[in-house]
Amino acid sequence: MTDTKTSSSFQSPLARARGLGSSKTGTQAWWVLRLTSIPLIPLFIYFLTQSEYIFTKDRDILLKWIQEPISAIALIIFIICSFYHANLGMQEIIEDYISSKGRKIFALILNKFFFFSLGIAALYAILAISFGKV
Amino acid sequence: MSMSERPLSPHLQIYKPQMTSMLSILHRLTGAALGLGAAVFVYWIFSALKGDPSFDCFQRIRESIGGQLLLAGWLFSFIYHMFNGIRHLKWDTGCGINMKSVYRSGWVLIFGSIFLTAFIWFTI
Repeated sequence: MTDTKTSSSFQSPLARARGLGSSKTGTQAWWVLRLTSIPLIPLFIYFLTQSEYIFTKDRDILLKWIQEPISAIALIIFIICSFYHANLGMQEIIEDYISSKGRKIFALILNKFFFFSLGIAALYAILAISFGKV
Repeated sequence: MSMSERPLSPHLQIYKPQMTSMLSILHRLTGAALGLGAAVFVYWIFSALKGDPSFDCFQRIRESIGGQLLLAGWLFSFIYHMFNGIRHLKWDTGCGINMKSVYRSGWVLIFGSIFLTAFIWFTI
């Protein structure tokens, strides 16, 4: 069979397609896990400085704060990064502890849907508050 | 016997708990706890969006003993997970991968996260 690719990968094309090798598609997950964690650090520090608006029991104060562009943007970035990070983190846990292939795949899909839909819901709420649906 | 029914040799029952393994599993536990906290986070935002009755209801739950315990737990989880995460990032660059550094940074992590959690909890 002729393969005109000049890539230096030792894997056969089929192996690459199946994600074989113990790490499967793991290297990307490893990197994105690190990447998504980094913005969370300055964002946490920022939210600490805003704690009186975040932990308030007065709903109007909270809403006014969310409607500030900086807070809304910070929240959006925070939600995207942390929910993606959470998905990847839980994925590692599932891969480690669920050995049956069928159950593992089911759990992984459920995990992804969980964080994806929660993330979309959270983003919707931030935008709804920001654009005055309050 | 299918894959999942084979007997395992003892591991948790016999392995001596050490700072390395304990901090590592705590990192995983706090991460999982924060994952659950994500759901509560969404609930909080929606209670603010929905209206005063929903928001007040949420605040009352938060003020209950259970609510306070959960909140404190999540605060500690976030801080511990963040600090240990930074420790992991440092290891990813190759720094500090020797027993002395690992134990030293481990102690800094333990005291740092407890201290910062208490500090934030009592000043906010």
